[in-house]
Amino acid sequence: MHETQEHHPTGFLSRVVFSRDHKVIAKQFLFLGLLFLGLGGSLALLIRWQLAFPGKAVPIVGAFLFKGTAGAISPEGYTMLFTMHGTIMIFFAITPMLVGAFGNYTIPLMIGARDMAFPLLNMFSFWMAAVSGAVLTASFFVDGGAATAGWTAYPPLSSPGPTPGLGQTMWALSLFLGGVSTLMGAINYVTTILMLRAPGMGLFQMPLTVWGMGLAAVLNAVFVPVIAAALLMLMLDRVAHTGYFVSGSQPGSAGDPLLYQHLFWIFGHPEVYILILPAWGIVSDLLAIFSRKPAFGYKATALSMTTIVVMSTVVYGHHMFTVGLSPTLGKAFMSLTMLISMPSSVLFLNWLGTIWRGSIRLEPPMLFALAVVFVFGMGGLTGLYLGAITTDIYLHDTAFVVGHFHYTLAASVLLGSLAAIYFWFPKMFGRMLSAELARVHFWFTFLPLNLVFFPMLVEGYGGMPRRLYEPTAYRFLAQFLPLNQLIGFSAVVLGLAQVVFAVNVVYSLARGQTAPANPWEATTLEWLTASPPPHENFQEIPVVHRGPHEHSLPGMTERDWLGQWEPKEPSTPSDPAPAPIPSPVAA
Amino acid sequence: MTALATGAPDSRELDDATALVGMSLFLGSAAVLFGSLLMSYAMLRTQQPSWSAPAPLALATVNTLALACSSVALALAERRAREGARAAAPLALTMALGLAFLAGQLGVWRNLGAPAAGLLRSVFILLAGSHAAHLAAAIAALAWAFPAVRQAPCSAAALRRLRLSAMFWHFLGAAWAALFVTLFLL
Ligand SMILES: [Cu+2]
Repeated sequence: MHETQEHHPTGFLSRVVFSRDHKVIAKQFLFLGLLFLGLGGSLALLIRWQLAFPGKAVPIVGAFLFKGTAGAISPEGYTMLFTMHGTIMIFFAITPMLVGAFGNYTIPLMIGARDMAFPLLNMFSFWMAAVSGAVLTASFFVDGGAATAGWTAYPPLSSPGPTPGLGQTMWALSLFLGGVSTLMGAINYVTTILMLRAPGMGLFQMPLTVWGMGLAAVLNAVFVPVIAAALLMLMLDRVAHTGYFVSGSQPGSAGDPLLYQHLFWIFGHPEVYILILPAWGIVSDLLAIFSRKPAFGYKATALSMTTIVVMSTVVYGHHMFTVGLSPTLGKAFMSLTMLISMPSSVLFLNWLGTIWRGSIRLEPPMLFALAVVFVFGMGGLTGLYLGAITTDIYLHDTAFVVGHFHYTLAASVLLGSLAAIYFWFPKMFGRMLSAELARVHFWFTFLPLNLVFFPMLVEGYGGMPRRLYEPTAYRFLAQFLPLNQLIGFSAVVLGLAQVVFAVNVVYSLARGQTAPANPWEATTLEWLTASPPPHENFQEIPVVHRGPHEHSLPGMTERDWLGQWEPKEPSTPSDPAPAPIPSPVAA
Repeated sequence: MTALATGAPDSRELDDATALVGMSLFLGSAAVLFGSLLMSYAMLRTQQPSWSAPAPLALATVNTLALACSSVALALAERRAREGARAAAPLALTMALGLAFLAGQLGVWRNLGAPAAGLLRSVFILLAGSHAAHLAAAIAALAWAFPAVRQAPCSAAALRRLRLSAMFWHFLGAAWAALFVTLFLL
């Protein structure tokens, strides 16, 4: 007894702030991500205001935010808005939520471990992310304001000449620190999955969420160092004037701005998968659980995700078709990119196979999971136009690209995160979220989301460049003003819907119905233990006897599911019913 | 597949195999970092009209030899610790040689001139500088292992600390060998 007491931290600091418990760290990442999601979303609303009502004073907040221009957004301010919106959403909202929060929460619980392999490293990972976020936030308040070189920060735009401000340097530093945090997390996740699985939990008994998280962590471990190298060189260029990326900055020598693009996209393409793989895994599990069926083609789904991970390392050139690559190289990148649609289609068809003739329960997590299937289809299909050189040359740097990656990243990944929150909230906090508010949140998110992103595809097809401050200055783009106003209006509705979500979270944390151990009748290990799980997760490490989604199998009479922890054979012949659920451990 | 899950999930202590996997992943990531820097070097260098290797080859060679000797000393320390003998002396020698290497690198850099005075110097800062930063961390790791390793025979935890730090150290030795050849000889 004395031994276990040592492992239960009791002070406020060690329990809540500097905790090494993966469940607490997951919550820290979740709230960090939600905070930045709010900030990044607000920036998006300002961008959409400028495009819908170019040059007009922003209502309510304009007089306060843009004093020098009587409340209107200046061209420089607009550049800063879209730069920081992209950066915040990708690295400080989605990454902490999906990878940081749900990676941390699900991996040890779903594989039956007491914690991550390296709990102290896990704590450092969060605090490094927090410092990185603080540096980025502080950059808004320095002289000259935050970064303005776009979320990709291509030199020479991000070189000290065009963007001399401290904000751009802080941007690079912040991303570098964020990369260190991600790397610490990735090493932890992969080690934990390889080494700490419960007895009986083979790789092909793991829930698909763990597959997605693990594969994303592998990509992080391999490719974050590449962007770290690029950021290091960018910082040296800015601070020590080394000139790696600046052509002709040095007597008798020349740096190369394209070098940055290569490094950026060698990381940048896998980064897309880093963000979407966890969402794919989560959706694959949720579709099975809420269709009350085993995941269709479980092994094929896991192996498709693995194939996509391997292939994602050799396609980055499709981001650089217009920089003057050799045509042979361009064609090679195009063909490899097109090949990725094969495993992606397997994944997609397996999802349809899972819900096909299932006993679908349209609970909130399922609604969001189904929405991911739809928007991921949209994102994938529009990706084909950008992966083919002939169409990409026309569509490159237009709003079509913006629409495409918002369908894949913003829509799929955001809806996937929301599905995850609705699904694991009862486990994390021991309270149910209100299903009625969740449905309101869902419809007022899903419909406006499409009204925001689909018109972007249309505008891009019509030739509207992205990052344009004042589209109506061009006569052929003036026709898109009403469409931009529709996007702006839908974005406001989308934003207001998130207020419903915030109310639901706050209300349910305080007053929500108490959650049972397994409210969704799900089969994976985290539902065996109490809601919320005790410190070190399980009273006794479970032994795994079956696959991750044993639903509606022949011979199931009393209930349509068997947990992974339930033995194959009934313990005595006189008791043919499935073994009762072991009573959850007392918290 | 199940065979991979060798770590005892119920043990609350870190076991050797798990620590080894974690360290290997870290070294893999570090290798990608140095690989990216070398790739950048290659891309920049091939675009220059002319290229001359950095001047202080003799000092750089002495440095390289010092680092090689430090790895040998560390291997000796590891063997002694494993056998239950005192490992403090070779371990201290390793750290001293590491510090000497860093001082020597500073000397090479001094002879190259200011960082802004040419792409060649910029490249040296990048490659040798990142390596030096990692080596400083490795010295800190050895210093962290030192007090526990000093006792003979040392505990299993101390032995693990030493082994993990040594993996990092030997990796940095190999990385420097690659950087030295690329920067000074090719
Ligand atoms: Cu890509």
